[in-house]
Amino acid sequence: MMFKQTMVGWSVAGALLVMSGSAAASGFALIEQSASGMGNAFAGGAAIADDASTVFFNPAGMSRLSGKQIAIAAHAITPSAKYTSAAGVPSGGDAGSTAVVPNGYFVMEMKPDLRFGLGLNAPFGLQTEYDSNWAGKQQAIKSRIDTVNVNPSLSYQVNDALSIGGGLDYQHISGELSQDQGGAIGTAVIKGTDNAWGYNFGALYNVDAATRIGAAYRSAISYTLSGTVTTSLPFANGPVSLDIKLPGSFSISGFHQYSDKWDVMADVSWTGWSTFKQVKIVDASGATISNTPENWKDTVRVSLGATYHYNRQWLARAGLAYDQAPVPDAFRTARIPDNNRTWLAFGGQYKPSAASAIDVGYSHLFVNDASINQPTPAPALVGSYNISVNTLSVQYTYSF
Amino acid sequence: MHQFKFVSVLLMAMILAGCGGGGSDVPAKPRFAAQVSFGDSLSDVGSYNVGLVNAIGGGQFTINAASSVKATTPTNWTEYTSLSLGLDMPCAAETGLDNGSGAAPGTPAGTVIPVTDYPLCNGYAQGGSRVTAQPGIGNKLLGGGGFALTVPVVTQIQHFLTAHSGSFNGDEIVTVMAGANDVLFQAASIGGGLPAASGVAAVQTAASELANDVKTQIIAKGAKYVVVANIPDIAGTPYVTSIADPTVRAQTAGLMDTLVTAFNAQLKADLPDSANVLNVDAYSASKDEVANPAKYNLTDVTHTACDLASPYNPLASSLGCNANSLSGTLAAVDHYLFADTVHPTPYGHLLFATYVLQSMTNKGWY
Repeated sequence: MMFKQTMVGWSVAGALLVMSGSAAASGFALIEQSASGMGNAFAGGAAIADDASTVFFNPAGMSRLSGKQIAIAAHAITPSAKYTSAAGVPSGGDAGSTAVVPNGYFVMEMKPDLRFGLGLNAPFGLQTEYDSNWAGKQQAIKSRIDTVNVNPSLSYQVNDALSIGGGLDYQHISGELSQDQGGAIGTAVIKGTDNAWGYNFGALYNVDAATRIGAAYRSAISYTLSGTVTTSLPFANGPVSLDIKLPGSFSISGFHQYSDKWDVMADVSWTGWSTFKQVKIVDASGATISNTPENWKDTVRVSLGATYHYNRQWLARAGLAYDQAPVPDAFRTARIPDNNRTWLAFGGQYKPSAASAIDVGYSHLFVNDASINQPTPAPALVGSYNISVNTLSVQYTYSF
Repeated sequence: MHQFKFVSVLLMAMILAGCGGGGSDVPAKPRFAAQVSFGDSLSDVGSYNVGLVNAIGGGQFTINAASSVKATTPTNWTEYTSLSLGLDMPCAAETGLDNGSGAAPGTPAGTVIPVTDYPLCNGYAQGGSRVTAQPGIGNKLLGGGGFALTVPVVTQIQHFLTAHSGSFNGDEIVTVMAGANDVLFQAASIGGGLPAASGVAAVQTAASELANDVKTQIIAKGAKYVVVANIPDIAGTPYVTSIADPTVRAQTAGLMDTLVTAFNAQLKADLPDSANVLNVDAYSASKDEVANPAKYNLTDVTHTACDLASPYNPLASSLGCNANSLSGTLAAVDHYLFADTVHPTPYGHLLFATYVLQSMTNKGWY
């Protein structure tokens, strides 16, 4: 049995390494951690705690689960970002492409008041890639950030009303940036990786039998990515490093069972993107070889959702969210042409048996057109982006 | 009630733990409105591209691009940097040729062309110019049929100020690269009997004057972004390395290096890096290119790409060199470092522009 679980775990980790990709929450955070939550636009994330994905959203929620449960989800995220110059000339093709982001969660009851959980997921991810000869090739061709997060967690039920939980996050990051620097250097490809620790904790409070409030915090994680830059000029090649601090986040969620048929939920989440000031790559001598000011701002995401229980086997979900982008207009780059977005999400669940559930969720993100005004490296990028994101999520949950 | 208090405390702790800590913003990169260049042949974008020079398809001190594409083909490092900054192709602020004959009978055709100023052009650097004094290298005052205007750098700066109401706007990238002709002038003087110590003192004075010009006539007049390149390694150029006699070669190399390093050290001492000044070490960069050509994809660092005896190039300098007067095919000499005995090929210029842009990146200017 342990062997099987281990196999599942490593399979998911392997898939994450290969496939995690495009950001669908603002910045390059990936909120896509469950298909059950997707149907509600992740409203109520820290309070809903209806399957093992609560390991990510609020570890205290594990107290609501009994026995053992495993939940595996995959999210096909299809962002689209198309640049058009101020003169009306499109270039670069669609910088977005479909990426499949999997995640897996396991929760087991150790004692009546103690749960252990394990999450394997990708809390951050990004990929934009333009045609190699596009107008902005000197500023960006490919940008990729992948993360893999291993998240062992514990929850403790303090009493009937209150549970608390916490976890450690061992996170691997890998990144790749490329641009055509022209002239003697040609295309420069910068790659790097690092591993670092973070933590998360949360609390879940049952106001009454039908209402609960959850709060959850995930810490920022500081990395120093180490890697290489490769160009066609040997002089310019060599080891490089990049300091980056991925943001902490804090969520407060509410869940209320309005009737036998209807649940409603809401969430407010804050993400500390103001840690992301610049992408500054230094060589072995300490000289800066590439520096892009970002100056991102903290963001707030608000969401509302409702679930309709058709019968014991079927339920339907819907959700709405507004998600701020951390990117100031003056600092928007071709690598992450992000802007504020409105989520419209639908989903449902089918339970083939008492022990298993299949969840499906879909969201469309309406993203405001995003202006860009970056004069250098020339040619300048002055124009706007037309952006949207579609995500389809599926999840299988099994209790045993 | 206790539970509510507990949750409240927990929430407050979380908020305190999570909030703030972003620190202050990093400054945006400067957005340059213009590039202004002062200096000598290494930054000259066509001061002498008139008359005879233009007629033979020359104009810059490198392998010149064909006339039909010259306006859009960068061949000088200041052209590469300007285009990389999203600015226009630089143009010469002043053109003309003057061999001093006043176009008397017998004057070679096209070597006396009236001086014309172009107030909208910011390429003030002129081949042969010294920091403060005339005659520059190739000037009529030195004899030998020279026709170069060689307006000194201090005067180039005054010309800019005159054309721009006496000041810089502060949004210009200003490049200054001079001193090599002071070194060549003093080396010739030492060869003619001047005590070496006097020559060294003279280049040190020139360096101090250049530093003072940058401080009082460029920065004090409003410029905020000044790139100052020192003198490249002259001892490693074919001007020295092609000397056949090993004793003379070694002596010349030693003298050149003494003069160049004296100038560079004085310049750095008088004009250290600051918020407004970025020193670019052309000396070390060029020395490394000669020592480690493979690192720079250079195929030849000892020969000249231009055939300096070509009948198509009566100037015997890269000033008159183009695809018709190369020592081999363009493809073969494409990654030579030197066009003539002291001036780089377009690829050599590109390497230096890359180095300058990298230095600007490190400074936060690019």
